[in-house]
Amino acid sequence: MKGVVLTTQNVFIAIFIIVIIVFVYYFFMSRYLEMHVTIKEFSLERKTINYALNLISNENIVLGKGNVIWRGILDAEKLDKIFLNTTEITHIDRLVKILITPIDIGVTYPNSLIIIRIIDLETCEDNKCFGWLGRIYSPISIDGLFFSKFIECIVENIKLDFGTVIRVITNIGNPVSAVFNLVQPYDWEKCIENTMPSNSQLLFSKSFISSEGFPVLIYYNNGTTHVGRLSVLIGEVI
Amino acid sequence: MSFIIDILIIGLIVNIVIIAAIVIALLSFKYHLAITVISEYKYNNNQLLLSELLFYNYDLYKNIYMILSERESIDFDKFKTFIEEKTKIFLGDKEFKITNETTTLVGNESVKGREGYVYIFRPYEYGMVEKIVLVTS
Repeated sequence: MKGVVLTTQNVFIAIFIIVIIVFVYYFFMSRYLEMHVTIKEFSLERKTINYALNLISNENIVLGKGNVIWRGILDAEKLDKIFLNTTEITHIDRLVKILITPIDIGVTYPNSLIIIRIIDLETCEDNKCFGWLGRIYSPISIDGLFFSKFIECIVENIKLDFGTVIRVITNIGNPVSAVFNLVQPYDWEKCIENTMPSNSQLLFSKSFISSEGFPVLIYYNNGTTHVGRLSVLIGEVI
Repeated sequence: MSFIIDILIIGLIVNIVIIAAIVIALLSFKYHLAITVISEYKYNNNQLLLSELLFYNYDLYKNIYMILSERESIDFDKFKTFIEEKTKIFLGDKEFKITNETTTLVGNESVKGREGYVYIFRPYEYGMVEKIVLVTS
């Protein structure tokens, strides 16, 4: 018999093969899109590392005399002037103020939420340490993007009492992430929807640099130096 | 119809091979990105840690740099515990050793892992400059 024989079996085999080809392409596309996100994530991690390395040479926070600055040795007096130390965080309003009021130290990334935490490891008792916390100024060029509103929204939705929040911040760990962990996922979603432009995404750095940070020395007025860690958390709108 | 089935089967095999090759390449690239960032962090961390440690003040007149560079002319064993204590504050539970590439000066001799190094001056040694390496697990 000439021509194509259209049997039920052949039709099923053809459909089966086409479904497999579609599935293979779907699998490929999902991997491909995942790579896009991964590249953005790792580029953010690299940015965070570079920012921290830059910060430990920033004349506004490191020890310096004349034209000489000591890389990686932070001046406690300068830190007190620029950031708020943990003893000053006496109420949740104060915490909101720290996160809402940006600090300009001359180095920044645009459209980013940059939070710096410096911990003096030699003052730690019962897992609580003395340290400094602050949000760095970042110029905004995206219409409708308000980090202040976003932070207000996040802090308003923290469900636990003040004492727990402060305990989380002063603990060794990622301070802001720790606070954000106290917020329910649906509140996160609500805050992002209400304060971010609809076509943008907020991506946070989440590896070592935001949790462990880099080692630094903290120099106090009385001539003593303490061992510390400086960590940087960057949330970037993409 | 069998001709079409044959073409579809050949097409399927070709597709699977091409897609598998691309997916493997993408996954290796992802792994490479992750490893590069982790290495970048750990390298900087160790390098900074050693630099900070060397400038840690023992008292108003001496820091760890001076202790290591003049170790033959002082009672070095007396300072070992101090250096160990301060390094442990930086590193937490991680094991470490500080060596000059031939002998372990402080820490656990058997530790292997990431390295950070700094060259220090040795005023009482012929070589004058010595490479100090910090190895963390």
